[in-house]
Amino acid sequence: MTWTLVAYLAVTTYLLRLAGLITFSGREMSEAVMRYLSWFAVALISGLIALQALTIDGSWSFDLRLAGLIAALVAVYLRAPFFVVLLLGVGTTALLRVFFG
Amino acid sequence: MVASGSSIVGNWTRLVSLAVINFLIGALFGSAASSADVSPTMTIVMSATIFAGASQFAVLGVLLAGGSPYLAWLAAVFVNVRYLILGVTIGSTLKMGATERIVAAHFLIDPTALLVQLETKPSVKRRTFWQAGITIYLSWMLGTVIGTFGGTAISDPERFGLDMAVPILLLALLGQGFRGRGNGLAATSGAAVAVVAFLFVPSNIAVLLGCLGALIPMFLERTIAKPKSQ
Repeated sequence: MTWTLVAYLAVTTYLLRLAGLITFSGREMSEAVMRYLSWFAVALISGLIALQALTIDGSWSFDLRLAGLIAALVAVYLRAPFFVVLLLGVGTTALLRVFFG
Repeated sequence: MVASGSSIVGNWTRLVSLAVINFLIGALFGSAASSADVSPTMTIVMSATIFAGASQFAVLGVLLAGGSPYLAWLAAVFVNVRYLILGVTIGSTLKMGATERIVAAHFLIDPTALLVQLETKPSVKRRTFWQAGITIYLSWMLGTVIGTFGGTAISDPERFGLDMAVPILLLALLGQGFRGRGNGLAATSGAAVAVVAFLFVPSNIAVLLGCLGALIPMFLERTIAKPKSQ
Protein backbone atom coordinates (compact mmCIF):
# COMPACT_ATOMS: atom_id res chain seq x y z
CA MET A 1 0.00 0.00 0.00
CA THR A 2 1.50 3.27 -1.07
CA TRP A 3 0.33 6.85 -0.89
CA THR A 4 0.16 6.85 -4.66
CA LEU A 5 -2.27 3.96 -4.63
CA VAL A 6 -4.40 5.60 -1.96
CA ALA A 7 -4.49 8.78 -4.02
CA TYR A 8 -5.52 6.94 -7.17
CA LEU A 9 -8.21 5.06 -5.27
CA ALA A 10 -9.59 8.20 -3.67
CA VAL A 11 -9.71 10.20 -6.88
CA THR A 12 -11.16 7.40 -8.99
CA THR A 13 -13.87 6.56 -6.49
CA TYR A 14 -14.81 10.20 -6.12
CA LEU A 15 -15.00 10.76 -9.87
CA LEU A 16 -17.22 7.70 -10.30
CA ARG A 17 -19.59 9.09 -7.71
CA LEU A 18 -19.55 12.63 -9.04
CA ALA A 19 -20.05 11.58 -12.64
CA GLY A 20 -23.25 9.76 -11.82
CA LEU A 21 -24.54 12.47 -9.55
CA ILE A 22 -24.16 15.28 -12.07
CA THR A 23 -25.30 13.40 -15.16
CA PHE A 24 -28.97 14.31 -14.98
CA SER A 25 -28.84 16.89 -12.26
CA GLY A 26 -30.45 19.80 -14.06
CA ARG A 27 -33.18 18.13 -15.95
CA GLU A 28 -36.74 17.38 -15.10
CA MET A 29 -37.61 13.79 -15.72
CA SER A 30 -40.96 12.15 -16.13
CA GLU A 31 -42.40 10.18 -13.25
CA ALA A 32 -42.01 6.98 -15.21
CA VAL A 33 -38.32 7.56 -15.89
CA MET A 34 -37.68 8.37 -12.22
CA ARG A 35 -39.43 5.15 -11.26
CA TYR A 36 -37.34 3.16 -13.75
CA LEU A 37 -34.13 4.73 -12.49
CA SER A 38 -34.93 3.77 -8.93
CA TRP A 39 -35.69 0.22 -10.07
CA PHE A 40 -32.15 0.06 -11.43
CA ALA A 41 -30.81 1.01 -8.01
CA VAL A 42 -33.04 -1.55 -6.30
CA ALA A 43 -32.04 -4.29 -8.77
CA LEU A 44 -28.36 -3.46 -8.39
CA ILE A 45 -28.42 -3.51 -4.60
CA SER A 46 -30.47 -6.72 -4.60
CA GLY A 47 -27.90 -8.38 -6.81
CA LEU A 48 -25.21 -7.19 -4.43
CA ILE A 49 -27.04 -8.66 -1.45
CA ALA A 50 -27.61 -11.98 -3.19
CA LEU A 51 -23.99 -12.33 -4.24
CA GLN A 52 -22.69 -11.34 -0.81
CA ALA A 53 -24.83 -14.04 0.75
CA LEU A 54 -23.97 -16.75 -1.73
CA THR A 55 -20.32 -16.17 -2.51
CA ILE A 56 -17.05 -15.60 -0.72
CA ASP A 57 -14.09 -13.93 -2.40
CA GLY A 58 -15.35 -14.66 -5.85
CA SER A 59 -16.56 -18.26 -5.56
CA TRP A 60 -19.77 -19.96 -4.49
CA SER A 61 -20.20 -20.61 -0.81
CA PHE A 62 -23.39 -21.92 0.73
CA ASP A 63 -23.30 -21.73 4.48
CA LEU A 64 -25.11 -20.41 7.51
CA ARG A 65 -25.06 -16.89 6.10
CA LEU A 66 -27.86 -18.05 3.86
CA ALA A 67 -30.00 -18.80 6.90
CA GLY A 68 -29.53 -15.25 8.11
CA LEU A 69 -30.54 -13.92 4.71
CA ILE A 70 -33.63 -16.11 4.60
CA ALA A 71 -34.59 -15.03 8.12
CA ALA A 72 -34.26 -11.41 7.06
CA LEU A 73 -36.26 -12.04 3.88
CA VAL A 74 -39.08 -13.62 5.87
CA ALA A 75 -39.06 -10.66 8.24
CA VAL A 76 -39.25 -8.27 5.32
CA TYR A 77 -42.09 -10.25 3.77
CA LEU A 78 -43.96 -10.11 7.07
CA ARG A 79 -43.40 -6.32 7.06
CA ALA A 80 -41.37 -6.38 10.26
CA PRO A 81 -39.81 -3.09 11.35
CA PHE A 82 -36.34 -2.18 10.16
CA PHE A 83 -34.53 -3.06 13.36
CA VAL A 84 -36.28 -6.39 13.72
CA VAL A 85 -35.19 -7.40 10.21
CA LEU A 86 -31.63 -6.44 11.08
CA LEU A 87 -31.56 -8.31 14.37
CA LEU A 88 -33.23 -11.40 12.96
CA GLY A 89 -30.84 -11.60 10.04
CA VAL A 90 -27.60 -11.04 11.88
CA GLY A 91 -28.80 -12.85 14.99
CA THR A 92 -29.88 -15.96 13.12
CA THR A 93 -26.47 -16.30 11.49
CA ALA A 94 -24.65 -15.77 14.77
CA LEU A 95 -26.94 -18.10 16.72
CA LEU A 96 -26.73 -20.92 14.20
CA ARG A 97 -22.97 -20.61 14.19
CA VAL A 98 -22.94 -21.11 17.95
CA PHE A 99 -24.68 -24.45 17.52
CA PHE A 100 -23.47 -25.60 14.13
CA GLY A 101 -20.53 -23.36 13.24
CA MET B 1 -43.01 4.67 -2.99
CA VAL B 2 -43.90 4.84 0.65
CA ALA B 3 -42.52 7.80 2.56
CA SER B 4 -41.39 5.48 5.28
CA GLY B 5 -38.77 7.72 6.77
CA SER B 6 -41.18 10.35 8.00
CA SER B 7 -41.49 8.99 11.51
CA ILE B 8 -38.90 10.34 13.90
CA VAL B 9 -38.49 7.02 15.71
CA GLY B 10 -38.09 5.15 12.44
CA ASN B 11 -35.48 7.61 11.28
CA TRP B 12 -33.59 7.41 14.55
CA THR B 13 -33.59 3.60 14.53
CA ARG B 14 -32.19 3.56 11.01
CA LEU B 15 -29.48 6.09 11.76
CA VAL B 16 -28.37 4.29 14.92
CA SER B 17 -28.30 0.92 13.15
CA LEU B 18 -26.35 2.39 10.24
CA ALA B 19 -23.92 4.01 12.69
CA VAL B 20 -23.34 0.87 14.73
CA ILE B 21 -22.80 -1.41 11.76
CA ASN B 22 -20.52 0.98 9.94
CA PHE B 23 -18.57 1.55 13.12
CA LEU B 24 -18.03 -2.20 13.49
CA ILE B 25 -17.08 -2.73 9.85
CA GLY B 26 -14.80 0.30 10.03
CA ALA B 27 -13.10 -1.24 13.05
CA LEU B 28 -12.72 -4.47 11.10
CA PHE B 29 -11.06 -2.58 8.30
CA GLY B 30 -8.73 -0.73 10.67
CA SER B 31 -7.81 -4.01 12.27
CA ALA B 32 -7.28 -5.78 8.95
CA ALA B 33 -5.17 -2.94 7.59
CA SER B 34 -3.06 -2.94 10.72
CA SER B 35 -2.51 -6.69 10.35
CA ALA B 36 -1.42 -6.04 6.79
CA ASP B 37 1.21 -3.60 8.06
CA VAL B 38 -0.52 -0.52 6.75
CA SER B 39 0.41 2.38 8.99
CA PRO B 40 -2.34 3.92 11.13
CA THR B 41 -2.01 7.20 9.27
CA MET B 42 -2.40 5.57 5.89
CA THR B 43 -5.30 3.45 7.12
CA ILE B 44 -7.13 6.47 8.44
CA VAL B 45 -6.48 8.50 5.31
CA MET B 46 -7.77 5.60 3.24
CA SER B 47 -11.05 5.50 5.09
CA ALA B 48 -11.35 9.27 5.01
CA THR B 49 -10.66 9.75 1.31
CA ILE B 50 -12.03 6.57 -0.23
CA PHE B 51 -14.96 5.91 2.10
CA ALA B 52 -16.00 2.74 0.32
CA GLY B 53 -15.76 -0.30 2.59
CA ALA B 54 -16.05 -3.10 0.08
CA SER B 55 -13.35 -1.68 -2.16
CA GLN B 56 -11.06 -0.90 0.77
CA PHE B 57 -11.21 -4.54 1.82
CA ALA B 58 -10.76 -5.65 -1.77
CA VAL B 59 -7.58 -3.61 -2.12
CA LEU B 60 -6.16 -5.14 1.05
CA GLY B 61 -7.08 -8.58 -0.21
CA VAL B 62 -5.41 -8.17 -3.58
CA LEU B 63 -2.21 -6.76 -2.09
CA LEU B 64 -2.05 -9.48 0.57
CA ALA B 65 -2.47 -12.12 -2.13
CA GLY B 66 0.55 -10.69 -3.87
CA GLY B 67 -1.26 -8.72 -6.51
CA SER B 68 0.18 -5.53 -7.94
CA PRO B 69 -1.07 -2.08 -6.93
CA TYR B 70 -2.54 -1.74 -10.41
CA LEU B 71 -4.55 -4.91 -9.91
CA ALA B 72 -5.72 -3.67 -6.52
CA TRP B 73 -6.83 -0.39 -8.08
CA LEU B 74 -8.63 -2.25 -10.85
CA ALA B 75 -10.45 -4.41 -8.33
CA ALA B 76 -11.53 -1.29 -6.46
CA VAL B 77 -12.80 0.30 -9.65
CA PHE B 78 -14.86 -2.78 -10.44
CA VAL B 79 -16.34 -2.81 -6.99
CA ASN B 80 -17.06 0.93 -6.98
CA VAL B 81 -18.35 1.47 -10.48
CA ARG B 82 -21.80 0.73 -9.14
CA TYR B 83 -21.63 4.20 -7.55
CA LEU B 84 -21.75 5.60 -11.04
CA ILE B 85 -25.08 3.86 -11.59
CA LEU B 86 -26.40 4.75 -8.16
CA GLY B 87 -25.40 8.36 -8.76
CA VAL B 88 -27.33 8.47 -12.00
CA THR B 89 -30.42 7.04 -10.36
CA ILE B 90 -30.52 9.55 -7.51
CA GLY B 91 -28.86 12.49 -9.25
CA SER B 92 -32.04 13.74 -10.84
CA THR B 93 -34.13 13.41 -7.69
CA LEU B 94 -31.73 15.20 -5.38
CA LYS B 95 -32.36 18.91 -5.43
CA MET B 96 -28.91 20.31 -4.88
CA GLY B 97 -26.87 23.14 -6.30
CA ALA B 98 -23.55 22.49 -8.00
CA THR B 99 -21.37 23.19 -4.97
CA GLU B 100 -23.45 21.04 -2.66
CA ARG B 101 -23.46 18.27 -5.22
CA ILE B 102 -19.67 18.32 -5.46
CA VAL B 103 -19.41 17.80 -1.70
CA ALA B 104 -22.31 15.36 -1.57
CA ALA B 105 -20.64 13.06 -4.09
CA HIS B 106 -18.17 11.89 -1.47
CA PHE B 107 -21.04 10.59 0.65
CA LEU B 108 -22.69 8.52 -2.04
CA ILE B 109 -22.82 4.97 -0.76
CA ASP B 110 -25.35 2.15 -0.92
CA PRO B 111 -27.36 3.15 2.17
CA THR B 112 -27.56 6.86 1.32
CA ALA B 113 -28.59 6.10 -2.25
CA LEU B 114 -31.26 3.68 -1.03
CA LEU B 115 -32.57 6.09 1.57
CA VAL B 116 -32.91 8.82 -1.04
CA GLN B 117 -34.94 6.44 -3.16
CA LEU B 118 -37.20 5.47 -0.28
CA GLU B 119 -38.26 9.03 0.46
CA THR B 120 -40.73 10.81 -1.75
CA LYS B 121 -40.39 14.50 -0.89
CA PRO B 122 -37.32 16.27 -2.33
CA SER B 123 -36.56 18.21 0.84
CA VAL B 124 -36.74 15.02 2.91
CA LYS B 125 -34.56 13.20 0.38
CA ARG B 126 -31.88 15.82 0.74
CA ARG B 127 -32.03 15.93 4.49
CA THR B 128 -31.99 12.14 4.77
CA PHE B 129 -29.01 11.92 2.44
CA TRP B 130 -26.94 14.26 4.58
CA GLN B 131 -28.08 12.82 7.90
CA ALA B 132 -27.23 9.29 6.89
CA GLY B 133 -24.12 10.27 4.94
CA ILE B 134 -22.51 12.20 7.76
CA THR B 135 -23.57 9.69 10.42
CA ILE B 136 -22.09 6.80 8.47
CA TYR B 137 -18.94 8.73 7.65
CA LEU B 138 -18.30 9.61 11.30
CA SER B 139 -19.01 6.05 12.42
CA TRP B 140 -16.79 4.65 9.69
CA MET B 141 -13.95 6.97 10.70
CA LEU B 142 -14.33 6.30 14.40
CA GLY B 143 -14.37 2.59 13.71
CA THR B 144 -11.30 2.82 11.53
CA VAL B 145 -9.37 4.76 14.16
CA ILE B 146 -10.26 2.32 16.91
CA GLY B 147 -9.61 -0.65 14.68
CA THR B 148 -6.20 0.47 13.54
CA PHE B 149 -5.02 1.15 17.09
CA GLY B 150 -7.07 -1.49 18.85
CA GLY B 151 -5.32 -4.44 17.29
CA THR B 152 -7.21 -7.67 16.97
CA ALA B 153 -10.13 -7.05 19.25
CA ILE B 154 -12.63 -8.28 16.67
CA SER B 155 -10.55 -11.01 15.13
CA ASP B 156 -13.54 -13.20 14.44
CA PRO B 157 -16.30 -11.24 12.70
CA GLU B 158 -18.14 -14.40 11.74
CA ARG B 159 -18.89 -15.18 15.35
CA PHE B 160 -21.29 -12.29 15.56
CA GLY B 161 -22.70 -12.71 12.10
CA LEU B 162 -20.94 -9.48 11.16
CA ASP B 163 -19.98 -10.71 7.74
CA MET B 164 -23.67 -10.62 6.92
CA ALA B 165 -24.26 -7.31 8.66
CA VAL B 166 -23.93 -5.12 5.58
CA PRO B 167 -26.04 -7.22 3.18
CA ILE B 168 -28.75 -7.60 5.80
CA LEU B 169 -28.64 -3.91 6.57
CA LEU B 170 -29.16 -3.17 2.88
CA LEU B 171 -31.97 -5.72 2.75
CA ALA B 172 -33.65 -4.11 5.75
CA LEU B 173 -33.42 -0.73 4.02
CA LEU B 174 -34.86 -2.19 0.83
CA GLY B 175 -37.62 -3.82 2.82
CA GLN B 176 -38.91 -0.43 3.82
CA GLY B 177 -39.48 0.54 0.21
CA PHE B 178 -40.82 -2.76 -1.11
CA ARG B 179 -44.36 -1.52 -1.05
CA GLY B 180 -43.84 0.74 -4.01
CA ARG B 181 -44.77 -0.18 -7.56
CA GLY B 182 -42.54 -2.74 -9.15
CA ASN B 183 -39.85 -2.66 -6.48
CA GLY B 184 -40.38 -6.24 -5.37
CA LEU B 185 -40.06 -7.46 -8.93
CA ALA B 186 -37.04 -5.24 -9.56
CA ALA B 187 -35.36 -6.63 -6.45
CA THR B 188 -36.09 -10.27 -7.26
CA SER B 189 -35.04 -9.84 -10.87
CA GLY B 190 -31.88 -8.03 -9.87
CA ALA B 191 -30.91 -10.81 -7.48
CA ALA B 192 -31.74 -13.49 -10.06
CA VAL B 193 -29.83 -11.80 -12.88
CA ALA B 194 -26.77 -11.24 -10.68
CA VAL B 195 -26.72 -14.84 -9.49
CA VAL B 196 -27.13 -16.24 -13.00
CA ALA B 197 -24.53 -13.82 -14.34
CA PHE B 198 -22.08 -15.06 -11.72
CA LEU B 199 -22.16 -18.44 -13.45
CA PHE B 200 -20.42 -16.79 -16.36
CA VAL B 201 -18.57 -13.71 -15.17
CA PRO B 202 -16.66 -12.60 -12.04
CA SER B 203 -18.74 -11.37 -9.13
CA ASN B 204 -17.87 -7.72 -9.65
CA ILE B 205 -19.32 -7.73 -13.14
CA ALA B 206 -22.22 -9.91 -12.07
CA VAL B 207 -23.22 -7.26 -9.56
CA LEU B 208 -23.32 -4.61 -12.26
CA LEU B 209 -25.35 -6.83 -14.57
CA GLY B 210 -27.83 -7.28 -11.75
CA CYS B 211 -29.16 -3.78 -12.35
CA LEU B 212 -30.44 -5.01 -15.70
CA GLY B 213 -33.03 -6.90 -13.68
CA ALA B 214 -34.90 -3.60 -13.63
CA LEU B 215 -35.67 -4.16 -17.29
CA ILE B 216 -38.17 -6.85 -16.35
CA PRO B 217 -40.69 -4.70 -14.48
CA MET B 218 -40.04 -1.97 -17.07
CA PHE B 219 -40.88 -4.35 -19.88
CA LEU B 220 -43.96 -5.63 -18.08
CA GLU B 221 -45.21 -2.15 -17.40
CA ARG B 222 -44.76 -0.97 -20.94
CA THR B 223 -46.21 -4.00 -22.68
CA ILE B 224 -48.89 -5.23 -20.31
CA ALA B 225 -50.04 -2.05 -18.63
CA LYS B 226 -50.14 0.05 -21.75
CA PRO B 227 -52.62 -1.97 -23.83
CA LYS B 228 -55.01 -1.90 -20.88
CA SER B 229 -55.17 1.88 -20.91
CA GLN B 230 -56.14 2.02 -24.58
